[in-house]
Amino acid sequence: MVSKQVKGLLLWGSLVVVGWLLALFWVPPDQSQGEVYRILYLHVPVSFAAFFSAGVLCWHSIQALIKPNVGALLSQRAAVEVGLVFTILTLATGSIWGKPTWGVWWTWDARVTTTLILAVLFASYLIFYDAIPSELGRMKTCSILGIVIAADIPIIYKSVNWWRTLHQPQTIIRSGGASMSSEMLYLLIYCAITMLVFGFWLIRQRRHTLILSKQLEEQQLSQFS
Amino acid sequence: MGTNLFYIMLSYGLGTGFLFGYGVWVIHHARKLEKRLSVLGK
Repeated sequence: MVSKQVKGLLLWGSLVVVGWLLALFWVPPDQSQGEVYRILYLHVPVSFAAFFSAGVLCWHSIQALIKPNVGALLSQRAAVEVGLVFTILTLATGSIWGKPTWGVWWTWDARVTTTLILAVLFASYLIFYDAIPSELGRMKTCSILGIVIAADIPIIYKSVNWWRTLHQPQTIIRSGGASMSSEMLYLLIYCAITMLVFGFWLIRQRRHTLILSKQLEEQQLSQFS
Repeated sequence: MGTNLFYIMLSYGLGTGFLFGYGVWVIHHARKLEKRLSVLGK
């Protein structure tokens, strides 16, 4: 019997894969970048999903600070883990795209560096989460850190305007409309939406696993006491 | 084209591995926990 979770993975995963196949075989090559720009149909959506995870983290951090509750803390942790996966993937695909386009695997460009800071902040959240033994202390520290992490998102987004960078400026949301042909743009929007849905599904599944883990811990403690 | 294809396949390979690998790990971990909880609940 195929479980609900496997069905979810297959459904949302296949919608993501359809976008990837269209990006690989359907859209025409870019006039200036050629074939390698197809990587952007993965790179841009995963970066949006990383931003979305930080948004979810911020929402649950504010909730936990206003009214401390374990559910919000578990949601934070799930969002951070998924966000870290998406951020690592953003950096990796950006680096692979950068090699044929910029000629280097890595450069200390403003947007790349601020994204690396996001990955380090996500990782530091996980370290703090596991290192603080008291639940209330963990909730307070992690919630404050969660808001700090979310504050990095507008910095990443505006970095191409605030500093002189190698990274290309905003191509989709900008004054004067998107600088892409409509078929390229619609496919990018499709890929972004399906990736956000897949990211949301991942956060929910991970939260469910964390709840189960908590229940197991409590049952084991009650058996031994 | 050959080099570009390598970069494209490397990116999408990593994407598939990371996203679906993580998804499968989460589901597998949840199943293991559910089994252990049901054993403790008996």
